Amino acid sequence: MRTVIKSSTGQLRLNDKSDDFYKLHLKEGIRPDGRMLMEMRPMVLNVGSISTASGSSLVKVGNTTVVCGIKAELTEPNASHPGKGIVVPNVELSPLCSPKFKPGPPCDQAQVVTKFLDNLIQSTNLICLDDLCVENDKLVWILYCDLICIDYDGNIVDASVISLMAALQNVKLPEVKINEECESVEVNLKCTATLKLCSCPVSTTFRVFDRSNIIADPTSMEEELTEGQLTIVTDQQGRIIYMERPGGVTLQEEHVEKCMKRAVIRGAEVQTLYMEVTG
Amino acid sequence: MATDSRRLAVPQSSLDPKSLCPAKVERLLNDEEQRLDGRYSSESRGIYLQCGTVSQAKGSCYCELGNTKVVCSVYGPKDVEHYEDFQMEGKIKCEFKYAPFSCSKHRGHIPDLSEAEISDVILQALTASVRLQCYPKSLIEVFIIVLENDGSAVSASITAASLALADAGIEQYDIVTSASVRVYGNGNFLEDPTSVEEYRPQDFDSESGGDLNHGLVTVALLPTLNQVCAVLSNGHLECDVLVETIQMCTSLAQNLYTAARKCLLSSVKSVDQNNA
Amino acid sequence: MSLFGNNLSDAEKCFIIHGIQDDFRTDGRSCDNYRTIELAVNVLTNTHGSSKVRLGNTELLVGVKVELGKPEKATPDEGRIEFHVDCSPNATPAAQRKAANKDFVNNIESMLVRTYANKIAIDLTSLCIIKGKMCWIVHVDVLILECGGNILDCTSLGVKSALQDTGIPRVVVKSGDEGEEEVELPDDPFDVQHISVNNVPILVTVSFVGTRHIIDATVEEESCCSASVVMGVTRRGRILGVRKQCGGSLNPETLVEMLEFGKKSGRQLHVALDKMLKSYEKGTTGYL
Repeated sequence: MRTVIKSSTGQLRLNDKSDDFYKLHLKEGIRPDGRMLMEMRPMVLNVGSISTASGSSLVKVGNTTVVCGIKAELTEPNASHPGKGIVVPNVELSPLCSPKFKPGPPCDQAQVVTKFLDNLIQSTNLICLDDLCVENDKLVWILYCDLICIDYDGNIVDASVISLMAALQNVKLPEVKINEECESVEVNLKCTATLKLCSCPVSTTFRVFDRSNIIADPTSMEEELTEGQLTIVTDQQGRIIYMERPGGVTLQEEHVEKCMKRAVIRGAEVQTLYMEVTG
Repeated sequence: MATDSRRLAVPQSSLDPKSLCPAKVERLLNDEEQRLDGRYSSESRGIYLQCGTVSQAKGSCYCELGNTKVVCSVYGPKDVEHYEDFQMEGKIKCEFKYAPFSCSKHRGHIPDLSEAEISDVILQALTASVRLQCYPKSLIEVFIIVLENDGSAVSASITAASLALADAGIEQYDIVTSASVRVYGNGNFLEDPTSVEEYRPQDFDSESGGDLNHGLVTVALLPTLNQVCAVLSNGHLECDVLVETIQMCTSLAQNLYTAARKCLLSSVKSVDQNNA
Repeated sequence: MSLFGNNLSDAEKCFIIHGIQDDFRTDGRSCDNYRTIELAVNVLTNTHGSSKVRLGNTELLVGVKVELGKPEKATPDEGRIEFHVDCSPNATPAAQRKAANKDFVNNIESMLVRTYANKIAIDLTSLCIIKGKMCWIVHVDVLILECGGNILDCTSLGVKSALQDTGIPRVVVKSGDEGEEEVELPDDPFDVQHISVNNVPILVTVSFVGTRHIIDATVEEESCCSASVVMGVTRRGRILGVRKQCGGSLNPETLVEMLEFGKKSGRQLHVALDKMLKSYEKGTTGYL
């Protein structure tokens, strides 16, 4: 009986021959896991499995698994925005999901992805924050969007965006009223409403290998071999609403155009998946 | 909440809307001896165990006990971090965490005292089982996250952790299985309690002895060797009631052994099928 | 909790284990004897209650301070009790590095929180002043000066004594202007009320060494013990919390024996402690 022997970190180790190994594959237009350069990994999406959360989702992009749980609670609004609710995303890349991460405070990558989600929510007006207000200057909803990565095999950005969107579509908020006479808060758990979302974004991430090859949906090993990242976010109408290019190597114009076209196609595929799952 | 400079700012405190609905649960057992979810007091929930769920980890296990969902991953054996920890016996490090959305109230990201205590209890249970003398100067890391807490999270975590260690190929004397029992008044024992059924002091009136013989007991066991490797209890119990509850937990944990073995066998079979 | 780790040689460990088997420990005690306990209350002037305990080589100070605060939303008619343990790195080699110190301290704090988190240990409703608005928050701070084994038992003795010694100012609730209730503190600093410590638990650590169980293990005995059980025992013999420590395993029958043994020892300890505290009740001056 043959058994699988894993190294102590459970994954393939990179060495200085890995670059050549990868180049040999790319010459034939294929990647080590059998995909074409612009091919995405199969995706699995499941919503509403965590009953303690107001909304939840689980996404698997290849091996990368992200669970998003949204807790809706009530709090006083910020003094600067008394009539708006609060949305706080947080991406957790704990040592559980990969040997790359150490225990302790969030690593740089987790902070970057959290900020990306925060920027995305704010710049695309994803959630209508005025709807989250119960009573101006007194009580608003706060949505804690916690994304926990259970298995890290690259492309955490796309998986996070998809799971966040699916979980937000799954959120059910109970009806809350403030009783003026006794100054108490009344909650009706039986009467729930879904969130009104102004947009439904899908992100696609590309990485650059050796300054000339663009690959889509990188695995963890490919992320280490490549430099430079480009993330393009499209909405339900196929328009490009957000792009992030966090430095690194330069990209030529035709490469960027190729990525944009691929992102639009990918966006449409994922939108149908959202519709199927969330109904 | 302590402000964390590496995370986005959150307000000082927020209210869980469910806590504003005064839905106090009066009785956990109705006249027909049935619990809130329809089970009888000596009925456990079904358990689902699967190994190999985290592809990046050396060994991993996913456990579902009713609605309680736990993921455990194991890394190692690897080098210890500080040279002062060089010992001829290996070292296990265990980190237990509730996901922020797993309980009825939103939990913070920094592990608090109860999570640190549970990490320690799970560590004791695993230390009794792992053959540490086979891993000198090495560190084995066990990470556990509870995705949804519907009661008995600690027992589910201990079972999942032991199976994850087995999946990682770490030598153990036996699989560790664990079970919890809620003591509910005189002579009532609720096996495998849900989160509503777990012991909370505020559910009781403040008469003297108002919560006598109410508490929660969790026991971890090495089934084939019949050795107890962890005991955790809280509440207000008489000594003989506590002893009876521990014996009940022990027999429950013993029953879990078949499910744990089946899980390991099926994971090895599936690896074999993938290779063939 | 093995504090000195591997500083004992195997031969020394063997000697200790064999001695215990013959009911004769290295300091001449039998398996069910505690070391001499030295206790003093009211040792710190700027706290509401304090105590200093010395159990063999283990010494610690407990200070209790009460402050006014708002009750938790879930329990509007109850006050709160909060524990905080501090261990100086001088006290024990186990608490020298920051992470190890935190683990050591968390171990003690979590056991105290566990055994006090029920309705019987302290009557928290007696700490309520105005329902839903104001209550007393009791802060119990433990400072470990020296750790010579059996730190949990010693801590619980100190906590019980300090709580017995605590005098909470007797406040009067008056209806002030605008119909709001106001709280008035007494002028007389000795006009205090005491918390009832009738059902407060004492932690008893029963260690399993070789083939027998012992109580009040010294540091050397702790490094030989394979498993130990800590339990919170009230004066009436009720158990408020149990936790197994040290990474060994126990036979279920042995575990039951250890629990019974711990309960018996706990009750005896309560009797002895209550006798000592009663003799202090007349308002003693500080020790030292």
